[in-house]
Amino acid sequence: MNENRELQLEEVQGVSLWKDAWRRLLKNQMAVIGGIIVLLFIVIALFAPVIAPYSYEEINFDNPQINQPPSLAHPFGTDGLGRDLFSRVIYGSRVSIAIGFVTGLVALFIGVSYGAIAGFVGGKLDEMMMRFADILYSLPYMFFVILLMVIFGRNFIMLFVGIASVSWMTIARITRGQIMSLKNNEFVEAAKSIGASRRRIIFRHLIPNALGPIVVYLTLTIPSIMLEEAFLSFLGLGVQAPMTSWGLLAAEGKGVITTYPWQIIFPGLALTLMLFSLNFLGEGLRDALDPSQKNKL
Amino acid sequence: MANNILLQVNDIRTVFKTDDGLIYAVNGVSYTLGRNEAIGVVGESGSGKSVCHLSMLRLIPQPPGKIVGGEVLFEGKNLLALSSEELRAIRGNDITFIFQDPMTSLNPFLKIETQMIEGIMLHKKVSRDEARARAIELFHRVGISEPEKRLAGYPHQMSGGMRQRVMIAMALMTKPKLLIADEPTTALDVTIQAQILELINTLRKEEGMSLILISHNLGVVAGMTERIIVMYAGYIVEENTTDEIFAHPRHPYTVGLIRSIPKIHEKREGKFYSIPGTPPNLLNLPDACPFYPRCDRRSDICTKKMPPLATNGQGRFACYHPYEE
Repeated sequence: MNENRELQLEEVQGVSLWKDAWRRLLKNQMAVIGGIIVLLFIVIALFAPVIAPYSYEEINFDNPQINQPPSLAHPFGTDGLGRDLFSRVIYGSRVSIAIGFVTGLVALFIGVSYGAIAGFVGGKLDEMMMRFADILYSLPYMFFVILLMVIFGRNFIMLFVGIASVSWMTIARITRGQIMSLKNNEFVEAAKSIGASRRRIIFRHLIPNALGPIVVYLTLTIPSIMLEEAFLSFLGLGVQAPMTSWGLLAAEGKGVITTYPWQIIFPGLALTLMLFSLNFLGEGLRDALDPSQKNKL
Repeated sequence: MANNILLQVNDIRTVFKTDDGLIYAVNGVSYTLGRNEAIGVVGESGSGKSVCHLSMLRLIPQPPGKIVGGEVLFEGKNLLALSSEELRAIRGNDITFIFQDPMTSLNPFLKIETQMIEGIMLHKKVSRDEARARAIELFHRVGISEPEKRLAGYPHQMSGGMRQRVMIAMALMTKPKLLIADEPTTALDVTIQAQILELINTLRKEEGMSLILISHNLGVVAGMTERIIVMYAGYIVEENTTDEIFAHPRHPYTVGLIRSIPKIHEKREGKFYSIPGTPPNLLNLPDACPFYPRCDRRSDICTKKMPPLATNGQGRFACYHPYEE
């Protein structure tokens, strides 16, 4: 009888702060669902040619094919040129997601390096670097992006460059603040005292410690970048036909919103779903990485 | 004799710029340290003992700090004049530090192993495995059980005493010539303090290192060092062999420090002894003995000029009205 009650002492394993945060994240249902949907969208974007039932650019003027409501053959209906909207939305995810993630990562890279250097070095360099960021901040960013588009032409790469060049400043500020509060920690002094160089201290000792809030902010930046792309495309400054994005699809749909509403509803839904999921994931990450903030307003 | 000198500090001065003016943290400290010698540096909080030793390796934050003068000769090289690369080659290699607070001196995001071998990998041509082997050996010697497992762990899984052992082991990785321990036991409870001090002492003798032990506690320093330097307001006010300091303290401040050590056999009524007053504000320090407001032997001259640090036998002291031998 005693055999059943034998003590089961589990050995305590080495748990890093990241693993710990990961465990907390998995407990947050909304964040996990958000994460799964984001992953799903990424898979869809990667395998668009395999998944999409039709080509995104094939125009079909046969009479019954134009502006069809959703049906079995065309789950999201067709647009004014007879193109399958379902396929268009799937292909559109490629541009939207690529812009969101690639630009987000570029902004992350620039912002973190810039902010970390300014925060760590401090003094005059910090002043100069942050004032420069302030100037960029104060420019109306849409105007700035539009200007870039006009000067360099409406090309796809410029869309990345334009949005990235206005998205990194907030990340830089957050990083700078983090680094400034961390750099007076004793472990930084300890690292200096063993002969570590500045670069090593910034990138190996400080940035990992500051990454929590930065990652959280990134998950909230990506949706805003996707919205900006949608907005630019909506204005006609973004992606060019026949390639498409969710924002462009919505722009095309807006003209016929009263007559063929599905043409704006489906791309809008896709965009909304993606943004919601990213936001839930971001919230979950914030709670997981900084448990003391949980349930605080 | 000259060959036996490891470190010679000449007139080092450090100030901090603040909005209110200059803070004179270190005001011309000079002393020498021999090979295999252990000295203690004693003083109240704010006496400049930490800043002075951080300044030697240019570890104070600059700005606001600024080393305005002096030289620090380590094996003949002036540390204050080296390029930052040359200095980095000495930091953590020939001279290592043990800091006060083991709870915050380890990076919470990096594995113990990564932090243990960081220094030796930077300075010596050793493989990861060799560095690891050295770390395991040192963990054994500082009394950390199951070193392999500990190396794979993170700082938050260890107690304060354990972390300080890790810090000590880390400081010994490169077989330094000089170990500077800045209040290594302040953050630990008393029973652990004794163990840690004993450990530092044993390892120092085994490895043939010189040791500078910085503390505000004369008692801590007494058992471990051959010589003691007493600092006050950024000045050295007295220096002598450990035995002499306790037997014949000359400076009133040293006398006060010794009197304020509680003695276990003494019957007492009322409060413990403490030196009246507080340390002076280091902002715009006047040219006067900084201790005179708290001193019961003061006279007019004490307020007019800082007494020179006079050599006396083996020792030195800076006072116009010293206690007699």
